[in-house]
Amino acid sequence: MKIGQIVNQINDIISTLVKEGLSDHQTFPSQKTSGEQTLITIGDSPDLSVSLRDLPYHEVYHALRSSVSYHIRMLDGGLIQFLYTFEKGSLAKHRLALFPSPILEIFDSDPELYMKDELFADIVGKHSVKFPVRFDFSADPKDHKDPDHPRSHLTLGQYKGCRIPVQAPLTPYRFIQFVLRNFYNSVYFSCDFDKRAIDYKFSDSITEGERNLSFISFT
Amino acid sequence: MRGGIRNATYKHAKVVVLLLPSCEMHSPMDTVWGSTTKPVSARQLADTLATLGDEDGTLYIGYPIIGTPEGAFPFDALLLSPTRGAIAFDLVEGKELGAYQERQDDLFAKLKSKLLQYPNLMKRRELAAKIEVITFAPSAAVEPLDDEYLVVGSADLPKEILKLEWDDQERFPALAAAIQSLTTVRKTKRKRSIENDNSRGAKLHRLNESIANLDENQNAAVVETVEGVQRIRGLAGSGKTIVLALKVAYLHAQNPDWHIAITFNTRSLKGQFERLITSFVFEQTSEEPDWSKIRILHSWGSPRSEGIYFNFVKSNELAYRDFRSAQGAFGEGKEFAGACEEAVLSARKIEPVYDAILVDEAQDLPSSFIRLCYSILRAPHRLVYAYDELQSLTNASLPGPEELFGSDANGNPIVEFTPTASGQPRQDIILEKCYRNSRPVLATAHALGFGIYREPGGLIQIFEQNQLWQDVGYRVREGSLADGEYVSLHRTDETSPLFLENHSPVSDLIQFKAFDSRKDQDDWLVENILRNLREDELLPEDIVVINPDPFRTRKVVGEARARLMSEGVNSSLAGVSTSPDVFFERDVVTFTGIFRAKGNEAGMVYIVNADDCFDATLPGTRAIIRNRLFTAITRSKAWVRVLGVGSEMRGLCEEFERVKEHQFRLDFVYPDEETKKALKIVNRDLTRSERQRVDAKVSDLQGVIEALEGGDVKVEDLPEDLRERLKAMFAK
Repeated sequence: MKIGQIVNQINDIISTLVKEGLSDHQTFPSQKTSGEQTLITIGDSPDLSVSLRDLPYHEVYHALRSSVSYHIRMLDGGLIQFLYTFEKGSLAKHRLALFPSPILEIFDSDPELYMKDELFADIVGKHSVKFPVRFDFSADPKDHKDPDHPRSHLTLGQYKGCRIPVQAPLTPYRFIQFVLRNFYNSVYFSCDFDKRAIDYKFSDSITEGERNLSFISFT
Repeated sequence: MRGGIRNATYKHAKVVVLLLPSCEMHSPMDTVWGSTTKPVSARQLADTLATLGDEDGTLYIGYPIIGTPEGAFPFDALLLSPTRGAIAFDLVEGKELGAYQERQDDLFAKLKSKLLQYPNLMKRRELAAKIEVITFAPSAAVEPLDDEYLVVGSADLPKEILKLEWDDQERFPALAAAIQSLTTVRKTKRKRSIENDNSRGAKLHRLNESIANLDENQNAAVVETVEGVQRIRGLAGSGKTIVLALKVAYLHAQNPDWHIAITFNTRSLKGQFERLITSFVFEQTSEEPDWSKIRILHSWGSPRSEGIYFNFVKSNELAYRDFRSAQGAFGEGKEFAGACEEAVLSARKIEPVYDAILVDEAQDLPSSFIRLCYSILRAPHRLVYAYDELQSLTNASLPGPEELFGSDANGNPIVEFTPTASGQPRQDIILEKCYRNSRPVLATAHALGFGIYREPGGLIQIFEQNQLWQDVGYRVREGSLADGEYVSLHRTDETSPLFLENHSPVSDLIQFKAFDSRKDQDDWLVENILRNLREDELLPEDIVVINPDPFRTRKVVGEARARLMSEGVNSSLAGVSTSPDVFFERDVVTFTGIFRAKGNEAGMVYIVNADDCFDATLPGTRAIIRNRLFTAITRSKAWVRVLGVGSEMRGLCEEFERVKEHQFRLDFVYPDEETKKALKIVNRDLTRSERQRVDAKVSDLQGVIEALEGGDVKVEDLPEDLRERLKAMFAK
């Protein structure tokens, strides 16, 4: 897959979510090239390192939110990022993440509250447990340790050792399909990405060792 | 009306006196009654000055407060007189005069240094304003007068005042402005780069600059402190929020030990209050506010973010209800009202925690919440609540104080507003000047909101109290404001300042456009927003697009947002995910449903799908949809575009044409008692689910009638008894 295709997919995703009224605020993807490396990042690429630091989740969330370090802010406050790094034209890294709002109720627990734009929807007493969802990929051999640190893996929450192997790097379509199907299920079919998700695919990066564990696969 | 007199005191003193009913004794000496630690001597000062007869001027008690390097410096009292200048009083509450010479020197120096900052009060290097300092000691034995330091009791005060003379009286307006300028209320918005001096961007910039100072009435509203309940009413854009923020700063500066809370309904107000209070407190005390004493709290609150209600249930160890749980328990539309009611009733012993609570947007808060606030106040229950009588257009938003606060065990009202006596702070303040909407925009909003020129059908709703029209700044041009009489109402430049409309031709201030399809409407919208940004020098945050139907906003604005995006213009949709502290995000055009638009304003307002607001089959829904239109139009600081589709929109355009033909006056026959009653029934306060039940019944009936007309059901099929009852009902 080419850089341009990735950018087009992100733009198409943003536009679809805006049309469906699911994105409250969004930032266009931007490209930064230095030497042989090209980054697909967010607007004027704010400081993204905060999400990696060892902070309580609500602080991570608010830092990302207030610095607008996201491509899409969903109607329930979920922040979505698509970050890709290419080297010499081929994929070197990606970080695809969903950071749900620690304060607001998750969308699927009460879709009507959100679609009808209830003024007091933020007055919530009991909270469901929120955790970030991240798909990371690195082609760098230094980052790879078979099978403990898969090239492409899924991390749930802030668990240090959580690296569920994934068959291949994800395209933006693949990632948004995963996010919407699982976390915005009640509106998934209004913006169906199933067809678009199978159009392009990165080559497999999973190893035999990783295949012996529970892993995520797709065709 | 006191407000009107107050405004006119200096400029048209003679006219005012003529306007007063001859039986009423009135001293032109006005008193603005602030917070004071010397109540007895202050009262005597006010009473003594009132004996001066037709002496003109304003006496401020507990005002001004001047920020100095040592912190806040509050004045005991100050008399501002067009013929005598500024006279600061050093009040002696008891019998001991103390070091009055020192105090007088200090007062003089502080006042002088403040006035020296105003170039139009200077004559070359000298201060051209006259300043005098008097020690007023009504209870002390006053020694024979010292030449340099005036010390007087009640008997000598009038004589001494009359001795003072000021020969530079043309400088009085400048002196008054300096004394009354608590602060410069200038918004720190992003700097614009203006190239064309005539662009919309340039005009908006000038508009923002002109609304820099408080007017006299707003200033008085800030200072006047009631030992009890005070109500501040005013239209959208009359400055209620700023007045409240300043009041917090003023009370905090005067009484640093008080625990003061300010509360509100719209979360985006929190950040605004924080900024305003910080800067106002700093100006008055040269210090940061003490946030352990001032609390800015949302009315409801949650475990994640404190609020008045949340803190109440927590400290009283009661169960907390969030939105969903309250909805389950008390029904749609009664969530917060039910939660507050329940909390107050179940609390065993309520511990007062505050010395003053200020409530903004009280029209959007239930009465039970206001009572909850009252219950957590220490005596004398200093509760200030500000509301916009007209946000819902029907005047059912909040009951009067007697009903609102209920009665005590003996059946006496707990709170009662008494007519203000001379030399007392006003309990009931009306801010009648609107600084946001220009006259044509505001009058259009009212005309359409009430259905003044609706054809056919006429009025949709009306104020039950005719007087309210004058309270909100209308004047009778012709006819009379009486039931069943013709009246022609208009706004004057007194209540709708001209600078709000002079920047653009009327035809540009407000426009209505009907389109054949939604697509045409979106095309026009996108094209005009692009022009605003590319040619008119407006910033994206100057533009707001409002959809009046709150429930479908998310879906219906999607297409236009996507189109703008493809042109490189970003937008946001105001929703729950919007930060609690901001409404307008930078570099984006804001799209919003009507609920979230409340309390916010923008230079350019586009209202889309306004055809939704033209008519409803059910009479009870008409007022609701017209109120939405009213609220949407009144968000505009400068320009409004009302867009919609089809025949209903064309109907709305025609109605607007009639408003224009009447030169933005409201010319109509005031409804009589009976019509008012009928309108009141139609517009009675129903919750959403009650309203739905009524809707369903009416549609059942429609089905029955259609079946009868179509012959599916014959009249003879109806039971005798039913036929009789129908007949009887319609015979009335």
